[in-house]
Amino acid sequence: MDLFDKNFREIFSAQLFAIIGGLIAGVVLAVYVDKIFLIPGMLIIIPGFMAMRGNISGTFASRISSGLFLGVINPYKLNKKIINGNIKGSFALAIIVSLALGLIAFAFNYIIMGVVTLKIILIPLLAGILSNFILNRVTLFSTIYLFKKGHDPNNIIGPFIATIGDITSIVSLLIVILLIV
Amino acid sequence: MKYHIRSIKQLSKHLKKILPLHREKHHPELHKIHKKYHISKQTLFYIKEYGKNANVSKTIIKESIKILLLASFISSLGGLALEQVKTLFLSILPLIILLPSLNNMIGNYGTIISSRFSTMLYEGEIKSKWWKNLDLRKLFVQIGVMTIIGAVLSSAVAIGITYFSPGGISFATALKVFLIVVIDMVVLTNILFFVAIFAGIYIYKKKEDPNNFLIPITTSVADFANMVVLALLIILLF
Repeated sequence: MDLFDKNFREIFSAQLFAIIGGLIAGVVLAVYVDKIFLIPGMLIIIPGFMAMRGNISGTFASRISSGLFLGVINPYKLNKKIINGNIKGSFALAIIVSLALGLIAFAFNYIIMGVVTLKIILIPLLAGILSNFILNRVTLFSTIYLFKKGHDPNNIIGPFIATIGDITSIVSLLIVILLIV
Repeated sequence: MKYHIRSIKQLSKHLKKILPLHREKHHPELHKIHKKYHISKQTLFYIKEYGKNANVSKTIIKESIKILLLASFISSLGGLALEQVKTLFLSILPLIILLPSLNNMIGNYGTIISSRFSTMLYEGEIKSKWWKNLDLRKLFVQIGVMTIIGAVLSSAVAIGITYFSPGGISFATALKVFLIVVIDMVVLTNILFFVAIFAGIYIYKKKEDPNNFLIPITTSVADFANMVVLALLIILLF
């Protein structure tokens, strides 16, 4: 059994990339721990908020990759209808999911801890809009760039989005908290 | 040439026909066009979903919203477990640094295990005695080795950063953090394999595509279980 085969190397290098991004995001969390976790319920939001960027931007990249490979999207003359539809769809999903995360955290805060904090709804919503605005553009341009350079975006974009997404999500949360708290 | 133009006109007529069809009805028509014009089924499916008359953003929202909301709810439940030990958790700096990495690693393993197991199911490699399958065993060992290397590397970096921070870190705390990360990762990869194998076989037997279900299931379970196991280990060790 060849344990350290091509699959192992590919998965492991992607994991290393994701670990580095996660650690950078973690350092930001640790530096601003007193600000980020000042609001009750932030720990309820963070796992879902971080998973959201992968679930939305990851699938966005995957749809664009499929379109590029199938020839439905021309990388040199972008099909505006499909691209705009994808951007609008991902953006709407980010708004709905961020709002849902805020409402869930608000409900848990109220039911379990007896705390009423309206900011817990506003923070993920605004941070979700901000991070999705940045991530959508980064995802789109990097997917098309990788395809143009002859790479398969499916193999690279996942860990890349996970890494960039971790940092963008935490920094967006921090910016919004600093602005409204 | 005349035949070619007529054929293109016919194709465009056929493509228009598949656009308004509901998902459960599209298969025979797609198959017919695929056979006649030699266009891959994937391309036809993509054109049907995101073609000329399709509302791209509406399709995306409609198909993703339920699973995304469910995943958010499950992740929030995991976060709630960690919120219960918030004071203790926030006092352990390396664990705060490690939180996004742990989530990332576990989520990625969930995706890899699910997609590889789905492919094995489709290729007919998984028989009734799935535990005897060599490829599955190899994947289990590979993920196990990567889990331990990843856990050791990430915890070493987080402990190192904390060591050089103003508060520093004691040897006992560093050892506990290291143990928490390794145990958490090993427990979770085992849970992921368990869920992927049993849910995968069940879904496949129901003649559904395991690809569409396993990744959301395993990543949600990973998010939730990661927070719960972390909270339990913090209570136990600190």
